[in-house]
Amino acid sequence: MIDATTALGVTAAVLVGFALFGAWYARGRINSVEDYISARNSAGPGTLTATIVASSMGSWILFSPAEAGAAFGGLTAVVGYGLGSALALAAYAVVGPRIRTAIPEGHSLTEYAYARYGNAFYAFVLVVSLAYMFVFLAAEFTGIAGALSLIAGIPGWQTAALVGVTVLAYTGYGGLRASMVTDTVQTLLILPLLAITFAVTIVALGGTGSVYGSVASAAPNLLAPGYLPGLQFGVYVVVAILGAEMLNQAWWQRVYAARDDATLRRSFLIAAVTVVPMIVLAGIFGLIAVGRGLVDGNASVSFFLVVNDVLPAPAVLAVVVLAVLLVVSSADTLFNAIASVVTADLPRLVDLDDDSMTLAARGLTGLVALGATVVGAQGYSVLTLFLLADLLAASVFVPLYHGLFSERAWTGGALVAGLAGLAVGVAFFPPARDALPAMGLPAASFLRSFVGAAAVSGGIAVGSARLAGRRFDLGRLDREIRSLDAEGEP
Amino acid sequence: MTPLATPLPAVAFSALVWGSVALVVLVFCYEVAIVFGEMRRSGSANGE
Repeated sequence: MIDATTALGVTAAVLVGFALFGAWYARGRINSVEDYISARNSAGPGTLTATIVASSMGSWILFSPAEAGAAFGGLTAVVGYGLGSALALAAYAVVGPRIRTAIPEGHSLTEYAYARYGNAFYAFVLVVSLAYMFVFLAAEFTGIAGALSLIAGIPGWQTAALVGVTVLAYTGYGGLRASMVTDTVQTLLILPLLAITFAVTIVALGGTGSVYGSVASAAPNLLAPGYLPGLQFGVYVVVAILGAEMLNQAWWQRVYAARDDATLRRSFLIAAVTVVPMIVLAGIFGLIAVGRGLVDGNASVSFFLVVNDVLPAPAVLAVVVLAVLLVVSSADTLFNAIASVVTADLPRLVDLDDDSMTLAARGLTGLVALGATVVGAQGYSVLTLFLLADLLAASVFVPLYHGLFSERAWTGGALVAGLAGLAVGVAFFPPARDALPAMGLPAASFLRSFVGAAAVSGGIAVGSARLAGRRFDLGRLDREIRSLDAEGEP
Repeated sequence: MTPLATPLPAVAFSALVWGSVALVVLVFCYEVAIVFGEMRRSGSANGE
Protein backbone atom coordinates (compact mmCIF):
# COMPACT_ATOMS: atom_id res chain seq x y z
CA MET A 1 0.00 0.00 0.00
CA ILE A 2 1.31 3.48 -0.86
CA ASP A 3 0.97 6.22 1.73
CA ALA A 4 -2.20 8.31 1.83
CA THR A 5 -0.50 11.71 1.71
CA THR A 6 1.36 10.91 -1.50
CA ALA A 7 -1.72 9.42 -3.17
CA LEU A 8 -3.92 12.33 -2.10
CA GLY A 9 -1.29 14.83 -3.27
CA VAL A 10 -1.01 13.21 -6.70
CA THR A 11 -4.81 12.99 -6.98
CA ALA A 12 -5.22 16.65 -6.04
CA ALA A 13 -2.49 17.72 -8.50
CA VAL A 14 -4.17 15.87 -11.38
CA LEU A 15 -7.62 17.19 -10.50
CA VAL A 16 -6.56 20.81 -10.01
CA GLY A 17 -4.56 20.67 -13.24
CA PHE A 18 -7.63 19.62 -15.20
CA ALA A 19 -9.86 22.13 -13.41
CA LEU A 20 -7.52 24.98 -14.41
CA PHE A 21 -7.14 23.70 -17.96
CA GLY A 22 -10.89 23.24 -18.47
CA ALA A 23 -11.72 26.66 -17.02
CA TRP A 24 -8.98 28.33 -19.10
CA TYR A 25 -10.26 26.76 -22.30
CA ALA A 26 -13.88 27.72 -21.62
CA ARG A 27 -13.05 31.37 -20.84
CA GLY A 28 -14.94 33.62 -23.26
CA ARG A 29 -16.57 30.68 -25.08
CA ILE A 30 -19.77 30.39 -23.03
CA ASN A 31 -22.05 33.22 -24.10
CA SER A 32 -25.42 31.48 -23.90
CA VAL A 33 -27.11 28.40 -22.52
CA GLU A 34 -26.82 26.90 -26.01
CA ASP A 35 -23.00 27.18 -25.71
CA TYR A 36 -23.16 25.63 -22.27
CA ILE A 37 -25.05 22.42 -23.09
CA SER A 38 -24.19 21.91 -26.75
CA ALA A 39 -21.10 22.29 -28.88
CA ARG A 40 -22.94 21.97 -32.16
CA ASN A 41 -20.92 20.97 -35.25
CA SER A 42 -17.65 21.89 -33.54
CA ALA A 43 -15.68 18.66 -32.99
CA GLY A 44 -13.37 17.06 -35.53
CA PRO A 45 -12.62 13.31 -35.54
CA GLY A 46 -9.72 13.48 -33.07
CA THR A 47 -11.59 15.45 -30.42
CA LEU A 48 -14.83 13.57 -30.93
CA THR A 49 -13.23 10.11 -30.76
CA ALA A 50 -11.30 11.13 -27.66
CA THR A 51 -14.32 12.53 -25.84
CA ILE A 52 -16.38 9.42 -26.66
CA VAL A 53 -13.64 7.10 -25.39
CA ALA A 54 -13.05 9.18 -22.25
CA SER A 55 -16.75 9.54 -21.46
CA SER A 56 -17.42 5.86 -21.98
CA MET A 57 -14.44 4.58 -19.99
CA GLY A 58 -15.00 5.50 -16.37
CA SER A 59 -13.38 4.07 -13.27
CA TRP A 60 -15.95 1.26 -13.63
CA ILE A 61 -13.58 -0.46 -16.09
CA LEU A 62 -11.24 -1.10 -13.15
CA PHE A 63 -14.06 -2.89 -11.28
CA SER A 64 -16.81 -4.50 -13.35
CA PRO A 65 -14.84 -6.25 -16.15
CA ALA A 66 -12.41 -7.78 -13.66
CA GLU A 67 -15.36 -8.90 -11.51
CA ALA A 68 -17.02 -10.39 -14.61
CA GLY A 69 -13.79 -12.23 -15.40
CA ALA A 70 -13.30 -13.54 -11.87
CA ALA A 71 -16.87 -14.29 -10.81
CA PHE A 72 -19.34 -14.23 -13.72
CA GLY A 73 -17.81 -16.33 -16.46
CA GLY A 74 -14.13 -15.72 -17.18
CA LEU A 75 -12.75 -14.67 -20.51
CA THR A 76 -16.06 -15.10 -22.40
CA ALA A 77 -17.83 -12.77 -19.98
CA VAL A 78 -15.04 -10.21 -20.33
CA VAL A 79 -15.16 -10.31 -24.13
CA GLY A 80 -18.99 -10.05 -23.98
CA TYR A 81 -18.61 -6.99 -21.76
CA GLY A 82 -16.28 -5.42 -24.29
CA LEU A 83 -18.53 -6.24 -27.23
CA GLY A 84 -21.63 -4.91 -25.42
CA SER A 85 -19.90 -1.60 -24.77
CA ALA A 86 -18.67 -1.46 -28.36
CA LEU A 87 -22.07 -2.29 -29.83
CA ALA A 88 -23.70 0.57 -27.95
CA LEU A 89 -21.22 3.06 -29.41
CA ALA A 90 -21.41 1.53 -32.88
CA ALA A 91 -25.22 1.89 -32.73
CA TYR A 92 -24.77 5.67 -32.56
CA ALA A 93 -22.84 5.53 -35.84
CA VAL A 94 -26.17 4.37 -37.31
CA VAL A 95 -28.76 6.37 -35.34
CA GLY A 96 -26.59 9.49 -34.89
CA PRO A 97 -26.89 10.78 -38.47
CA ARG A 98 -30.63 10.09 -38.33
CA ILE A 99 -30.91 12.15 -35.12
CA ARG A 100 -29.06 15.05 -36.74
CA THR A 101 -31.20 14.91 -39.88
CA ALA A 102 -34.57 14.55 -38.15
CA ILE A 103 -33.88 17.08 -35.35
CA PRO A 104 -31.07 19.36 -36.52
CA GLU A 105 -31.51 21.87 -33.67
CA GLY A 106 -32.16 19.37 -30.89
CA HIS A 107 -30.30 18.88 -27.63
CA SER A 108 -31.61 15.90 -25.72
CA LEU A 109 -33.33 12.56 -26.06
CA THR A 110 -36.10 13.62 -23.68
CA GLU A 111 -36.87 16.62 -25.86
CA TYR A 112 -37.27 14.17 -28.74
CA ALA A 113 -39.37 11.75 -26.64
CA TYR A 114 -41.77 14.58 -25.75
CA ALA A 115 -42.16 15.81 -29.33
CA ARG A 116 -42.55 12.30 -30.75
CA TYR A 117 -44.68 10.53 -28.14
CA GLY A 118 -46.07 13.13 -25.71
CA ASN A 119 -46.13 13.51 -21.92
CA ALA A 120 -46.44 9.95 -20.61
CA PHE A 121 -43.65 8.42 -22.67
CA TYR A 122 -41.52 11.49 -22.07
CA ALA A 123 -41.89 11.02 -18.31
CA PHE A 124 -40.91 7.35 -18.64
CA VAL A 125 -37.80 8.19 -20.68
CA LEU A 126 -36.87 11.11 -18.41
CA VAL A 127 -36.98 8.94 -15.28
CA VAL A 128 -35.04 6.08 -16.87
CA SER A 129 -32.42 8.33 -18.44
CA LEU A 130 -31.82 10.39 -15.29
CA ALA A 131 -31.79 7.26 -13.12
CA TYR A 132 -29.25 5.53 -15.33
CA MET A 133 -26.95 8.52 -15.58
CA PHE A 134 -27.11 9.29 -11.86
CA VAL A 135 -26.46 5.67 -10.88
CA PHE A 136 -23.54 5.63 -13.33
CA LEU A 137 -22.20 8.81 -11.72
CA ALA A 138 -22.72 7.53 -8.17
CA ALA A 139 -20.97 4.28 -9.14
CA GLU A 140 -18.02 6.29 -10.44
CA PHE A 141 -17.68 8.20 -7.17
CA THR A 142 -18.18 5.06 -5.11
CA GLY A 143 -15.59 3.28 -7.24
CA ILE A 144 -12.85 5.88 -6.98
CA ALA A 145 -13.48 6.34 -3.24
CA GLY A 146 -13.22 2.57 -2.75
CA ALA A 147 -10.15 2.27 -4.97
CA LEU A 148 -8.13 4.95 -3.19
CA SER A 149 -9.21 3.58 0.16
CA LEU A 150 -7.92 0.14 -0.86
CA ILE A 151 -4.67 1.32 -2.45
CA ALA A 152 -3.71 4.14 -0.07
CA GLY A 153 -6.12 4.10 2.87
CA ILE A 154 -7.67 7.46 1.95
CA PRO A 155 -11.10 7.93 3.59
CA GLY A 156 -13.88 7.71 0.98
CA TRP A 157 -15.37 11.12 1.78
CA GLN A 158 -12.05 12.88 1.10
CA THR A 159 -11.70 11.35 -2.34
CA ALA A 160 -15.36 11.93 -3.26
CA ALA A 161 -15.24 15.55 -2.09
CA LEU A 162 -11.98 16.29 -3.90
CA VAL A 163 -13.26 14.83 -7.17
CA GLY A 164 -16.70 16.45 -6.82
CA VAL A 165 -15.39 19.96 -6.10
CA THR A 166 -12.68 20.06 -8.78
CA VAL A 167 -14.77 18.53 -11.57
CA LEU A 168 -17.63 20.88 -10.67
CA ALA A 169 -15.23 23.84 -10.81
CA TYR A 170 -14.56 23.48 -14.52
CA THR A 171 -17.73 21.73 -15.68
CA GLY A 172 -19.96 24.18 -13.82
CA TYR A 173 -18.11 27.07 -15.43
CA GLY A 174 -17.32 25.73 -18.91
CA GLY A 175 -20.10 23.21 -19.54
CA LEU A 176 -19.86 20.73 -22.40
CA ARG A 177 -16.97 22.48 -24.13
CA ALA A 178 -14.76 22.24 -21.02
CA SER A 179 -15.77 18.62 -20.61
CA MET A 180 -14.85 17.76 -24.20
CA VAL A 181 -11.46 19.48 -24.24
CA THR A 182 -10.40 17.86 -20.96
CA ASP A 183 -11.68 14.51 -22.26
CA THR A 184 -9.27 14.81 -25.19
CA VAL A 185 -6.23 15.21 -22.94
CA GLN A 186 -7.51 12.54 -20.56
CA THR A 187 -7.80 10.01 -23.39
CA LEU A 188 -4.25 10.73 -24.49
CA LEU A 189 -3.13 9.88 -20.94
CA ILE A 190 -5.52 7.00 -20.21
CA LEU A 191 -4.62 4.89 -23.26
CA PRO A 192 -0.87 4.66 -22.64
CA LEU A 193 -1.30 4.37 -18.87
CA LEU A 194 -3.63 1.40 -19.28
CA ALA A 195 -1.35 -0.29 -21.83
CA ILE A 196 1.75 0.26 -19.68
CA THR A 197 0.05 -0.83 -16.44
CA PHE A 198 -1.09 -4.03 -18.07
CA ALA A 199 2.21 -4.78 -19.84
CA VAL A 200 4.22 -4.15 -16.65
CA THR A 201 1.89 -6.40 -14.67
CA ILE A 202 2.18 -9.25 -17.18
CA VAL A 203 5.97 -8.95 -17.30
CA ALA A 204 6.15 -8.82 -13.48
CA LEU A 205 4.11 -12.04 -13.38
CA GLY A 206 6.53 -13.83 -15.70
CA GLY A 207 4.73 -13.38 -19.02
CA THR A 208 1.46 -14.60 -20.51
CA GLY A 209 2.55 -18.26 -20.29
CA SER A 210 2.91 -17.98 -16.55
CA VAL A 211 -0.43 -16.15 -16.17
CA TYR A 212 -2.17 -18.73 -18.35
CA GLY A 213 -0.65 -21.58 -16.32
CA SER A 214 -1.81 -20.17 -12.98
CA VAL A 215 -5.38 -19.56 -14.20
CA ALA A 216 -5.54 -22.94 -15.98
CA SER A 217 -4.61 -24.74 -12.80
CA ALA A 218 -6.84 -22.68 -10.46
CA ALA A 219 -10.00 -22.30 -12.60
CA PRO A 220 -9.66 -23.65 -16.16
CA ASN A 221 -13.32 -22.85 -16.95
CA LEU A 222 -12.50 -19.16 -16.83
CA LEU A 223 -10.31 -19.65 -19.91
CA ALA A 224 -12.94 -21.63 -21.85
CA PRO A 225 -14.71 -19.78 -24.67
CA GLY A 226 -17.70 -22.14 -24.36
CA TYR A 227 -18.14 -21.78 -20.58
CA LEU A 228 -21.93 -21.51 -20.21
CA PRO A 229 -22.15 -18.90 -17.40
CA GLY A 230 -19.71 -16.78 -19.38
CA LEU A 231 -21.76 -17.08 -22.56
CA GLN A 232 -24.99 -16.21 -20.72
CA PHE A 233 -23.36 -13.20 -19.08
CA GLY A 234 -21.91 -12.18 -22.43
CA VAL A 235 -25.36 -12.16 -24.05
CA TYR A 236 -27.31 -10.31 -21.36
CA VAL A 237 -24.62 -7.76 -20.72
CA VAL A 238 -24.76 -6.84 -24.42
CA VAL A 239 -28.52 -6.13 -24.16
CA ALA A 240 -28.15 -4.39 -20.79
CA ILE A 241 -25.37 -2.05 -21.92
CA LEU A 242 -26.94 -1.37 -25.32
CA GLY A 243 -30.28 -0.41 -23.76
CA ALA A 244 -28.74 1.78 -21.08
CA GLU A 245 -26.35 3.59 -23.39
CA MET A 246 -29.14 4.33 -25.85
CA LEU A 247 -30.66 6.42 -23.04
CA ASN A 248 -27.42 8.15 -22.14
CA GLN A 249 -27.76 11.84 -22.91
CA ALA A 250 -23.96 12.20 -23.15
CA TRP A 251 -24.06 10.50 -26.55
CA TRP A 252 -26.83 12.74 -27.89
CA GLN A 253 -24.70 15.74 -26.93
CA ARG A 254 -21.74 14.28 -28.83
CA VAL A 255 -23.89 13.38 -31.83
CA TYR A 256 -24.67 17.09 -32.15
CA ALA A 257 -21.08 18.11 -31.34
CA ALA A 258 -19.72 16.24 -34.38
CA ARG A 259 -18.53 18.51 -37.18
CA ASP A 260 -20.54 16.49 -39.72
CA ASP A 261 -22.11 13.07 -40.26
CA ALA A 262 -18.91 11.48 -41.57
CA THR A 263 -17.00 12.62 -38.47
CA LEU A 264 -19.79 11.27 -36.27
CA ARG A 265 -19.77 7.82 -37.90
CA ARG A 266 -16.00 7.52 -37.96
CA SER A 267 -15.53 8.67 -34.36
CA PHE A 268 -18.20 6.45 -32.82
CA LEU A 269 -16.88 3.44 -34.77
CA ILE A 270 -13.24 4.04 -33.80
CA ALA A 271 -14.30 4.53 -30.18
CA ALA A 272 -16.25 1.26 -30.39
CA VAL A 273 -13.15 -0.57 -31.58
CA THR A 274 -11.06 1.10 -28.86
CA VAL A 275 -13.18 0.15 -25.86
CA VAL A 276 -13.02 -3.60 -26.59
CA PRO A 277 -9.29 -4.09 -25.85
CA MET A 278 -9.49 -1.65 -22.91
CA ILE A 279 -12.21 -3.72 -21.26
CA VAL A 280 -10.54 -7.01 -22.14
CA LEU A 281 -7.25 -5.88 -20.56
CA ALA A 282 -9.01 -4.65 -17.43
CA GLY A 283 -11.06 -7.85 -17.28
CA ILE A 284 -8.02 -10.13 -17.47
CA PHE A 285 -6.97 -8.73 -14.09
CA GLY A 286 -9.92 -10.70 -12.69
CA LEU A 287 -8.52 -13.93 -14.11
CA ILE A 288 -5.06 -13.07 -12.81
CA ALA A 289 -6.50 -12.48 -9.34
CA VAL A 290 -8.18 -15.90 -9.38
CA GLY A 291 -5.00 -17.55 -10.64
CA ARG A 292 -3.03 -16.04 -7.75
CA GLY A 293 -5.67 -17.01 -5.17
CA LEU A 294 -6.45 -13.40 -4.27
CA VAL A 295 -10.24 -13.56 -4.73
CA ASP A 296 -12.32 -14.47 -1.72
CA GLY A 297 -15.76 -12.94 -2.07
CA ASN A 298 -14.20 -9.67 -3.18
CA ALA A 299 -14.10 -10.13 -6.95
CA SER A 300 -15.17 -6.54 -7.62
CA VAL A 301 -11.77 -5.26 -6.45
CA SER A 302 -9.76 -7.90 -8.33
CA PHE A 303 -7.92 -5.26 -10.36
CA PHE A 304 -6.62 -3.55 -7.24
CA LEU A 305 -5.81 -6.80 -5.46
CA VAL A 306 -3.47 -7.67 -8.34
CA VAL A 307 -2.01 -4.15 -8.45
CA ASN A 308 -1.25 -4.20 -4.73
CA ASP A 309 0.14 -7.72 -4.94
CA VAL A 310 2.37 -7.36 -7.98
CA LEU A 311 3.35 -3.80 -8.79
CA PRO A 312 6.03 -1.66 -7.11
CA ALA A 313 4.98 1.61 -5.41
CA PRO A 314 5.72 3.96 -8.36
CA ALA A 315 3.59 1.80 -10.65
CA VAL A 316 0.79 1.77 -8.06
CA LEU A 317 0.92 5.57 -8.09
CA ALA A 318 0.50 5.44 -11.89
CA VAL A 319 -2.61 3.31 -11.32
CA VAL A 320 -3.94 5.99 -8.95
CA VAL A 321 -3.49 8.56 -11.72
CA LEU A 322 -5.18 6.22 -14.20
CA ALA A 323 -8.16 5.70 -11.86
CA VAL A 324 -8.49 9.45 -11.24
CA LEU A 325 -8.34 10.22 -14.98
CA LEU A 326 -10.99 7.60 -15.65
CA VAL A 327 -13.40 8.95 -13.05
CA VAL A 328 -12.88 12.59 -14.01
CA SER A 329 -13.37 11.88 -17.71
CA SER A 330 -16.78 10.33 -17.19
CA ALA A 331 -17.89 12.46 -14.21
CA ASP A 332 -17.56 15.76 -16.11
CA THR A 333 -19.51 14.24 -19.00
CA LEU A 334 -22.32 13.05 -16.72
CA PHE A 335 -22.51 16.32 -14.75
CA ASN A 336 -23.17 18.21 -17.94
CA ALA A 337 -25.37 15.53 -19.51
CA ILE A 338 -27.73 15.39 -16.53
CA ALA A 339 -27.88 19.19 -16.30
CA SER A 340 -28.54 19.45 -20.05
CA VAL A 341 -31.52 17.05 -19.97
CA VAL A 342 -33.31 19.27 -17.47
CA THR A 343 -32.12 22.53 -19.01
CA ALA A 344 -33.37 21.61 -22.49
CA ASP A 345 -36.84 21.02 -21.02
CA LEU A 346 -36.95 24.25 -18.99
CA PRO A 347 -38.36 26.54 -21.72
CA ARG A 348 -41.52 24.42 -21.79
CA LEU A 349 -42.00 24.78 -18.06
CA VAL A 350 -40.88 28.31 -17.16
CA ASP A 351 -40.24 31.55 -18.98
CA LEU A 352 -36.57 32.43 -18.42
CA ASP A 353 -34.18 34.68 -20.28
CA ASP A 354 -30.88 33.28 -21.55
CA ASP A 355 -28.79 34.43 -18.58
CA SER A 356 -31.23 32.83 -16.15
CA MET A 357 -31.20 29.61 -18.19
CA THR A 358 -27.39 29.48 -18.08
CA LEU A 359 -27.49 30.15 -14.35
CA ALA A 360 -30.08 27.39 -13.92
CA ALA A 361 -27.90 24.96 -15.92
CA ARG A 362 -24.91 25.79 -13.72
CA GLY A 363 -27.03 25.42 -10.58
CA LEU A 364 -28.24 22.01 -11.76
CA THR A 365 -24.66 20.93 -12.43
CA GLY A 366 -23.82 21.90 -8.84
CA LEU A 367 -26.76 19.91 -7.48
CA VAL A 368 -25.75 16.84 -9.48
CA ALA A 369 -22.17 17.16 -8.21
CA LEU A 370 -23.35 17.46 -4.60
CA GLY A 371 -25.62 14.43 -4.92
CA ALA A 372 -22.90 12.28 -6.53
CA THR A 373 -20.35 13.31 -3.90
CA VAL A 374 -22.64 12.51 -0.97
CA VAL A 375 -23.77 9.15 -2.41
CA GLY A 376 -20.23 8.24 -3.54
CA ALA A 377 -18.81 8.83 -0.07
CA GLN A 378 -21.20 6.29 1.48
CA GLY A 379 -19.65 3.23 -0.16
CA TYR A 380 -23.01 1.70 -1.12
CA SER A 381 -23.19 -1.31 -3.39
CA VAL A 382 -24.61 0.15 -6.57
CA LEU A 383 -24.68 -3.05 -8.60
CA THR A 384 -28.39 -3.75 -8.01
CA LEU A 385 -29.29 -0.16 -8.80
CA PHE A 386 -27.24 -0.37 -11.98
CA LEU A 387 -29.01 -3.56 -13.01
CA LEU A 388 -32.40 -2.01 -12.28
CA ALA A 389 -31.58 1.06 -14.38
CA ASP A 390 -30.36 -1.29 -17.15
CA LEU A 391 -33.66 -3.20 -16.99
CA LEU A 392 -35.74 -0.03 -17.26
CA ALA A 393 -33.66 1.04 -20.25
CA ALA A 394 -33.89 -2.38 -21.91
CA SER A 395 -37.68 -2.13 -21.85
CA VAL A 396 -37.89 1.30 -23.45
CA PHE A 397 -35.03 1.83 -25.90
CA VAL A 398 -36.50 -0.03 -28.90
CA PRO A 399 -39.86 1.83 -28.88
CA LEU A 400 -38.00 5.10 -28.31
CA TYR A 401 -35.74 4.76 -31.35
CA HIS A 402 -38.35 3.05 -33.50
CA GLY A 403 -40.20 6.35 -33.54
CA LEU A 404 -37.19 8.09 -35.01
CA PHE A 405 -37.25 5.92 -38.10
CA SER A 406 -40.90 4.89 -38.51
CA GLU A 407 -43.78 7.29 -39.02
CA ARG A 408 -46.13 4.42 -38.13
CA ALA A 409 -44.89 4.23 -34.52
CA TRP A 410 -47.52 5.71 -32.22
CA THR A 411 -47.77 6.78 -28.59
CA GLY A 412 -50.16 4.09 -27.37
CA GLY A 413 -48.15 1.31 -28.99
CA ALA A 414 -44.87 2.64 -27.59
CA LEU A 415 -46.30 2.97 -24.08
CA VAL A 416 -47.80 -0.52 -24.07
CA ALA A 417 -44.54 -1.89 -25.51
CA GLY A 418 -42.48 -0.23 -22.77
CA LEU A 419 -44.78 -1.36 -19.96
CA ALA A 420 -45.08 -4.93 -21.29
CA GLY A 421 -41.29 -5.14 -21.69
CA LEU A 422 -40.88 -3.88 -18.15
CA ALA A 423 -43.40 -6.41 -16.79
CA VAL A 424 -41.57 -9.30 -18.46
CA GLY A 425 -38.20 -7.96 -17.35
CA VAL A 426 -39.32 -7.57 -13.72
CA ALA A 427 -40.92 -11.05 -13.70
CA PHE A 428 -37.53 -12.60 -14.52
CA PHE A 429 -35.34 -10.09 -12.66
CA PRO A 430 -33.58 -12.10 -9.92
CA PRO A 431 -33.61 -9.37 -7.23
CA ALA A 432 -37.39 -8.90 -7.77
CA ARG A 433 -38.41 -12.55 -7.89
CA ASP A 434 -38.58 -12.99 -4.09
CA ALA A 435 -40.94 -10.03 -3.80
CA LEU A 436 -43.33 -11.36 -6.44
CA PRO A 437 -46.11 -13.93 -5.88
CA ALA A 438 -45.39 -17.43 -7.19
CA MET A 439 -46.61 -17.49 -10.79
CA GLY A 440 -45.18 -20.81 -12.01
CA LEU A 441 -42.73 -18.98 -14.26
CA PRO A 442 -39.37 -20.42 -15.36
CA ALA A 443 -36.46 -19.57 -13.09
CA ALA A 444 -35.45 -15.93 -12.89
CA SER A 445 -32.21 -14.95 -14.58
CA PHE A 446 -30.65 -11.75 -15.86
CA LEU A 447 -30.46 -13.30 -19.32
CA ARG A 448 -34.24 -13.92 -19.43
CA SER A 449 -34.96 -10.58 -17.81
CA PHE A 450 -32.96 -8.32 -20.14
CA VAL A 451 -33.46 -10.25 -23.37
CA GLY A 452 -37.18 -10.71 -22.56
CA ALA A 453 -37.69 -7.00 -21.81
CA ALA A 454 -35.98 -5.88 -25.03
CA ALA A 455 -37.60 -8.54 -27.24
CA VAL A 456 -41.14 -8.05 -25.91
CA SER A 457 -41.03 -4.25 -26.00
CA GLY A 458 -39.43 -4.28 -29.46
CA GLY A 459 -41.92 -6.82 -30.81
CA ILE A 460 -44.94 -4.94 -29.49
CA ALA A 461 -43.63 -1.56 -30.67
CA VAL A 462 -43.05 -2.78 -34.22
CA GLY A 463 -46.16 -5.00 -34.35
CA SER A 464 -48.53 -2.36 -32.98
CA ALA A 465 -47.17 0.21 -35.44
CA ARG A 466 -47.96 -2.08 -38.36
CA LEU A 467 -51.43 -2.95 -37.06
CA ALA A 468 -52.59 0.51 -36.00
CA GLY A 469 -52.08 2.08 -39.41
CA ARG A 470 -51.42 5.56 -37.96
CA ARG A 471 -49.02 8.10 -39.44
CA PHE A 472 -46.88 10.68 -37.66
CA ASP A 473 -45.33 13.48 -39.68
CA LEU A 474 -41.65 13.13 -38.73
CA GLY A 475 -41.04 16.64 -40.10
CA ARG A 476 -42.80 17.92 -36.97
CA LEU A 477 -39.72 17.01 -34.92
CA ASP A 478 -37.64 19.57 -36.79
CA ARG A 479 -40.39 22.20 -36.57
CA GLU A 480 -41.10 21.72 -32.86
CA ILE A 481 -37.57 21.30 -31.48
CA ARG A 482 -35.58 24.49 -31.88
CA SER A 483 -32.28 25.90 -30.69
CA LEU A 484 -32.55 27.46 -27.23
CA ASP A 485 -31.11 30.66 -28.69
CA ALA A 486 -34.10 30.74 -31.05
CA GLU A 487 -36.69 30.46 -28.24
CA GLY A 488 -39.23 33.23 -28.57
CA GLU A 489 -38.22 34.04 -32.15
CA PRO A 490 -41.06 34.00 -34.66
CA MET B 1 -15.44 -30.28 -18.13
CA THR B 2 -17.59 -30.43 -21.28
CA PRO B 3 -15.89 -30.21 -24.69
CA LEU B 4 -17.40 -26.75 -25.09
CA ALA B 5 -15.66 -25.68 -21.90
CA THR B 6 -12.18 -26.57 -23.14
CA PRO B 7 -9.75 -23.81 -22.21
CA LEU B 8 -8.49 -21.50 -24.89
CA PRO B 9 -4.99 -22.61 -26.05
CA ALA B 10 -2.16 -20.72 -24.36
CA VAL B 11 -1.03 -19.23 -27.65
CA ALA B 12 -4.52 -17.81 -28.31
CA PHE B 13 -4.59 -16.32 -24.80
CA SER B 14 -1.23 -14.73 -25.42
CA ALA B 15 -2.41 -13.36 -28.79
CA LEU B 16 -5.54 -11.91 -27.12
CA VAL B 17 -3.49 -10.22 -24.41
CA TRP B 18 -0.76 -8.71 -26.59
CA GLY B 19 -3.15 -8.01 -29.44
CA SER B 20 -5.27 -5.94 -27.06
CA VAL B 21 -2.22 -4.04 -25.81
CA ALA B 22 -1.13 -3.41 -29.41
CA LEU B 23 -4.59 -2.16 -30.39
CA VAL B 24 -4.67 0.28 -27.47
CA VAL B 25 -1.20 1.57 -28.46
CA LEU B 26 -2.29 1.85 -32.10
CA VAL B 27 -5.37 3.91 -31.20
CA PHE B 28 -3.20 6.10 -28.98
CA CYS B 29 -0.83 6.81 -31.90
CA TYR B 30 -3.81 7.56 -34.17
CA GLU B 31 -5.32 9.88 -31.59
CA VAL B 32 -2.05 11.76 -31.02
CA ALA B 33 -1.59 12.26 -34.76
CA ILE B 34 -5.13 13.37 -35.47
CA VAL B 35 -5.59 15.58 -32.38
CA PHE B 36 -2.33 17.43 -32.99
CA GLY B 37 -3.29 17.76 -36.67
CA GLU B 38 -6.56 19.39 -35.63
CA MET B 39 -4.75 21.71 -33.23
CA ARG B 40 -2.30 22.75 -35.97
CA ARG B 41 -5.11 23.44 -38.45
CA SER B 42 -7.03 25.35 -35.79
CA GLY B 43 -3.89 27.44 -35.05
CA SER B 44 -3.41 28.19 -38.78
CA ALA B 45 -7.05 29.19 -39.14
CA ASN B 46 -6.62 31.64 -36.27
CA GLY B 47 -3.63 33.20 -38.05
CA GLU B 48 -1.06 32.05 -35.49
